[in-house]
Amino acid sequence: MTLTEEKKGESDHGQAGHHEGPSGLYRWLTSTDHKVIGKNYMYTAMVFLFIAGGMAMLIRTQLASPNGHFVSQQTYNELFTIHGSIMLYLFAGPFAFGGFANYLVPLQIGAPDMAFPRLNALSYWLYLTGGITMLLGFLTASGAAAFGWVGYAPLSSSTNSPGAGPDLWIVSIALVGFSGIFTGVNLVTTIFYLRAPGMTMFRMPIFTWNMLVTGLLILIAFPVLTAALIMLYADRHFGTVIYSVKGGGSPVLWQNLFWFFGHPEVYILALPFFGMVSEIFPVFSKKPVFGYKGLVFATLAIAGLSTGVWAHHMFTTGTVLLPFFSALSLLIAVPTGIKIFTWIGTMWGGQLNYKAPLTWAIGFIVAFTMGGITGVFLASPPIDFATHDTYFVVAHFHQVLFGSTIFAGFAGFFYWYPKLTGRMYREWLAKLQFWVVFIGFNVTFLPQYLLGLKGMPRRIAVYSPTDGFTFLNQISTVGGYLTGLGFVIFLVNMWISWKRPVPAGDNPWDGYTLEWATTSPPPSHNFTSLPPVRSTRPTWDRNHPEHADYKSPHVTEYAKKEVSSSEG
Amino acid sequence: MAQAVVTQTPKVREPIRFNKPSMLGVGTMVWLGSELMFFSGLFAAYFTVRANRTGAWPPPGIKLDIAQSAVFTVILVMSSVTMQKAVFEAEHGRKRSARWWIVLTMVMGLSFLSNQAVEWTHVTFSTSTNAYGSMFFVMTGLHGLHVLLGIVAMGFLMLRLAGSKSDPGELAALQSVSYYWHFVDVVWVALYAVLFLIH
Repeated sequence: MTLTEEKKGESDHGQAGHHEGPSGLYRWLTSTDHKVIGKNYMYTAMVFLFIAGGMAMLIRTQLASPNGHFVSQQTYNELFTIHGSIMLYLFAGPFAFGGFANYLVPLQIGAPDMAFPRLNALSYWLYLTGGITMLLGFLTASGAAAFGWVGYAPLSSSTNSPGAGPDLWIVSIALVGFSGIFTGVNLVTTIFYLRAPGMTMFRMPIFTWNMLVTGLLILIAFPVLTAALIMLYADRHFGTVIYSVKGGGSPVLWQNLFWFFGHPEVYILALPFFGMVSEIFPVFSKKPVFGYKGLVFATLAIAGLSTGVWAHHMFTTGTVLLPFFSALSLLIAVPTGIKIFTWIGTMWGGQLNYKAPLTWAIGFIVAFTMGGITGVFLASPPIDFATHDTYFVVAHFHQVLFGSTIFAGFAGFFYWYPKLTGRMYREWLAKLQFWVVFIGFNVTFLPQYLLGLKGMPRRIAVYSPTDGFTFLNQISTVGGYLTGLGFVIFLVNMWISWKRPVPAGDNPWDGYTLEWATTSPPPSHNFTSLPPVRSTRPTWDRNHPEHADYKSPHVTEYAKKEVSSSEG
Repeated sequence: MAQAVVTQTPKVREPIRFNKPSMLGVGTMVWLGSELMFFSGLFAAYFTVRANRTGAWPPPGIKLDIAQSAVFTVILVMSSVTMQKAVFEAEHGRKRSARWWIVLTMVMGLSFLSNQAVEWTHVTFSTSTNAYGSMFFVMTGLHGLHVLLGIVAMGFLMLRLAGSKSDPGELAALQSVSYYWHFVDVVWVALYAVLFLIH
């Protein structure tokens, strides 16, 4: 059924189908092609990034001076709530898992499309509907949700947060959650079922591995959030008392359920980006990835551990077993460290090609390691008790999340941009953007560690001139503006690349994986012919038969046998 | 593309073949994994509320007809058997017979739902009486919604099986609905034990 639909699309749009013609909008609305849906996801997520980034600018402006009057305190609460909610639910996850995974996983495993193309389209439309639903909160009489992206009970109850804004927030996140679950089902099934001949699990690109594990984590974490949201909605509207103390409910239950979702969610956001840099480092070092199986097992270990550490967000509630959750949280640093060392090991002794993707990816390692190490601090209860809900935590998670979603995200975006569009971006603008964003990012968030240690709580709209927070906040605001400027450079880059296209060619980076074996952008069914898959680097093997992986002395006996049988 | 092989020879009686599961079947099972986590969230909430209790469990004032619900629990569990029978019949190419087994399954599911409707109107407590009452309505309600969606899915399945044209995907669709129906039944057994039997 889908096959015929896609064939129709092919004949309608042909080779030039990528460029927007008169049929552009219709195609965008009705397509079930994973490449179109993947791009829809990516561009929509970027729009949300700019919306939420704009909110961050407003937040920094408000905090630039003590007793700020730039926005009202209620507006400030709405801004940081929706800033966080958009960044986490509508940008970071959908950008990587809806966008990159959708576009790249079928290409990387040599499949013609996702397992369930129409379900894929449904996911995208649920996501867009959910995103708009969240923003509609600003148009209601009582404003958007204002209880933070975590929506803690009892602050989120109908007494403390009346009005339609919080309801729209709940519905929006449930919709986005369904979208994520459907994409997860789709991707996991695609990876299990539609791999090309020869593409065994241990020949899959690390990116695809990470997306598989992310998909499984989504299936574990998001339904629990959906259940929690339904109960929250019932508490607000159907008179249930699940999160209220009167009647025997429990407000801390919300925190438990939310963070059982929330901590895996952190890795749902991070793992796809780990996957991207795991593709970029090898290609720009002219080496195979160092420690392939180490990376795979580290990914699995991170996923496993991430389901057992949720209560480290709740140390100060006094209701959780501190040693257990502290120990497990510290343990997560081990597989994460393994990954960082495999990335460094991949670059080690390699022939480094300092193009924008590699520059951004190295920036990711720097930013993520800083954020990761302060995460290790926070995993120990004594430090957490002192810094809980201060700007130290804000700085920590921005370094981790900004580090992965922006630095690794843009590394991936520039790496695959030629494949997505067939055009090249402007190298110098991408590098300039990197340095502006990198400096801006550190100037923004490093002072916030100090602010946190000085005791500045998060989520406050004003502070007093006598608190001693003024100077560091001003530096942070300047850094924020600088970061914002970096994204303007990005828009300029995209504009120039669009208006004065430079053809990129099918394989500008001498890439290794199957997506580089087809045209840029790929045709409707992705491949007219597939190179034989005999190692983790099929495209490299085809383009450099004299250095093919399956001929190397390290190759396993199994692969050798397969080669000799196919050649003989 | 990669769907299960359909047995197209209705006259010969063949043993059940253990084919590679269809792509739709794999997708359904993966999705049911997420459904399991959904109900796990609800059970987690229930047991948290139970752990916070101050007195007896269920709290005073909660009276449920254990025997009546037991009868409909048995009916729902038996509907899994009839659903599986429909799958076996279809696997042997006996579509007409399969349709009647699905109708029987739908009737059993509907009788379960009607009992639940009766129960909801007859219980002595409401959603706001206490947290047990809240959890009772939320859990039975969300499970009932799943039963209802299963019956709707069977309705669509009936339309698909009614077609005279050859449809290579219909057996996979039937199998997938059956996976879902078994899952919903198993969840009910756990729910019945937790809501009605635990003291």
